[in-house]
Amino acid sequence: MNEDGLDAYLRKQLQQNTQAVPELVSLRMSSTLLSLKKKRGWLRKVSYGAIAACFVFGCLTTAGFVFPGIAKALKNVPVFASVFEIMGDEGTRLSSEAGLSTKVNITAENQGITMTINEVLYDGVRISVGYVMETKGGEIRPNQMELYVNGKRLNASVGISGREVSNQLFAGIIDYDLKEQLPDQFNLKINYQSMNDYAPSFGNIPKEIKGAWKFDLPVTKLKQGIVTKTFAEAPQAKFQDHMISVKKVIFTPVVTAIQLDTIEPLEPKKNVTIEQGQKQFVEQGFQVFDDRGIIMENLSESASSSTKNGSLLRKTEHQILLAPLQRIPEYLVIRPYTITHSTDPAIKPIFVKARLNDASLPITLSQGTMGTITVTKVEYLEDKTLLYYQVKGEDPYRQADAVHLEGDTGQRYGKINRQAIRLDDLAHSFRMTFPPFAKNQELQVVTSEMERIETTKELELKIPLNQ
Amino acid sequence: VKRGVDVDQTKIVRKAQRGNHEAFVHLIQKYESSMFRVAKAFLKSDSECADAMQEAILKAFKGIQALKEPDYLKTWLIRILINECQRILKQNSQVIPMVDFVERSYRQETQQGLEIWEAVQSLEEDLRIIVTLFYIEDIALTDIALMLALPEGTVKSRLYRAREKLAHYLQLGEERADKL
Repeated sequence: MNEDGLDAYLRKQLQQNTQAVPELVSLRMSSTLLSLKKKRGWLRKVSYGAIAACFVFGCLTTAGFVFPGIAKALKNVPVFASVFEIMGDEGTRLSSEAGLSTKVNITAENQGITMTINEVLYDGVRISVGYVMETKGGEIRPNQMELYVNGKRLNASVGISGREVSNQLFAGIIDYDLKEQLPDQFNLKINYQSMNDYAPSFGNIPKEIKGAWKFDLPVTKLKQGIVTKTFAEAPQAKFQDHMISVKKVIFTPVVTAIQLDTIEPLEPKKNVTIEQGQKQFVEQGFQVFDDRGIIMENLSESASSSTKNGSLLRKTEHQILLAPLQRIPEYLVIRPYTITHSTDPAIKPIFVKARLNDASLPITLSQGTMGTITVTKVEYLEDKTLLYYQVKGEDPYRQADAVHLEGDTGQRYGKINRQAIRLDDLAHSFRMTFPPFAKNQELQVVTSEMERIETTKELELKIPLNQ
Repeated sequence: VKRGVDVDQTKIVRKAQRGNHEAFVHLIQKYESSMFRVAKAFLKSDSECADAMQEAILKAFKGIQALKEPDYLKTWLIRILINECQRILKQNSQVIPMVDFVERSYRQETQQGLEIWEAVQSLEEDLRIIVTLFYIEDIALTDIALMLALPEGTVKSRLYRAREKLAHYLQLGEERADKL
């Protein structure tokens, strides 16, 4: 048997005959995992910590995509373009377009990596910071950092989105979802202590580059358009052992924030074996509708759970950030949902493709049990390509976002903007921006089949806001 | 949201990073078998494996927010576990063992399975860990080198030696079977 043949034989034999995890070990793992939950006391907030960063790189979900065209625009930040306008969610994008964000130009250079912060926005709920990084090679991403507000470590949930826009340019937005009140004006210090290089030559483990990149930003809270609604009696919904209770709703020009608590039993889900449990993941969240029944775009959800020792109930404090509204609605409706995602390696994504051809429009593509998208128009412009489509289904934003283009050699082209932009609430019309293409270029529009969303109607909750 | 391992794992890791306990439990359960096999390649007793895995889980729980690339969760977890195994080995080397007892905890279905595991168990520890990571856990040699803080050439030469020994052992097994 040659070397490759022996390798294949050994791999097959060893993988087919792996050792079962002994009960002694399994039991210890279960008790260890359970203890992690019990360590938190009732009503005690989970400390997010100053560096409790949830690093959410947009480039991960778009791995394998190319983004020609926007590198040039971003290199000129902040003079000609805004990261918020190109990569922001609806809140940061519209606020930046309206001139509500503060343009800055603070650069720190170390170890051949230049990081520039060029835009800041604070509305009392979230601080957003736009940044651009230029490097001399490698795939550099921000890593370890410390944050200070007026010299005190910041307690916030941190999300970083970003995208490599060329070989030596990375740009994105850092969002700090705040858990505490900050002054109307303060000094924000961001001290990066290391960057990571994800170049393929380092394998799957990035190389850490230690250094110092320090920023000192003056931050001012938006003064106008902020309305906070609290309740003498909290709006509540109860069903079986589950309860939702709303504490506060905040409307700002950047976001709509809902703070609520949920209480639910700790007991494991019935009728799901351990084996099944390892092959699926149940995503839970909230859909929110305005007083016209229009679903609102969910920007982020953060939550912290706590369980009193010996209690069979778990309490979770949630903050849901949604797209901003132009007016204060009479009420909002919250509907909890679950989606069961398969993590079974045997189940592969099912992509649905159609040739993009002006003459054959409109084209409808199935998204499985979730619904459909119908491409209605393509505009080939000098600096970008605009794809227009309508979505049918119960989760239009999620559906609208699951679209990309492919070239004739299978090259995948991702959207330039952070997400599809909704054009018409009632018709669920969206527009997605792609890099520029020639009109005669062979392209396919691609989406994927999705798991159906399941909602718990009994826990649907109306939040009155006109009092 | 696409059906598929990588996309969903990214989402689950993000949830775990935001403090979602269920997501963290799911991830650990997914890799529990891998963690046990790696621990077993270093440590003799199941209880030592449980100790190492427990410490690794606690460290992973504290540190998961610092994991930048959700795709690398498995290699990150195993690297933490290897550190714990090496710590326990170091502690063990400082005490005189009362009994050198090897637990045979695996349950094999076939004679071939038993034979190949006997072969793996017969390897020296430094070869056994390479075999576990490369053949069973499908981890690239470059990553194994980083995990064990060894030059890639050393990993390759150890894999070569392990392969030779396993081939020799299995050949002997076949010869024995022929004679029966």
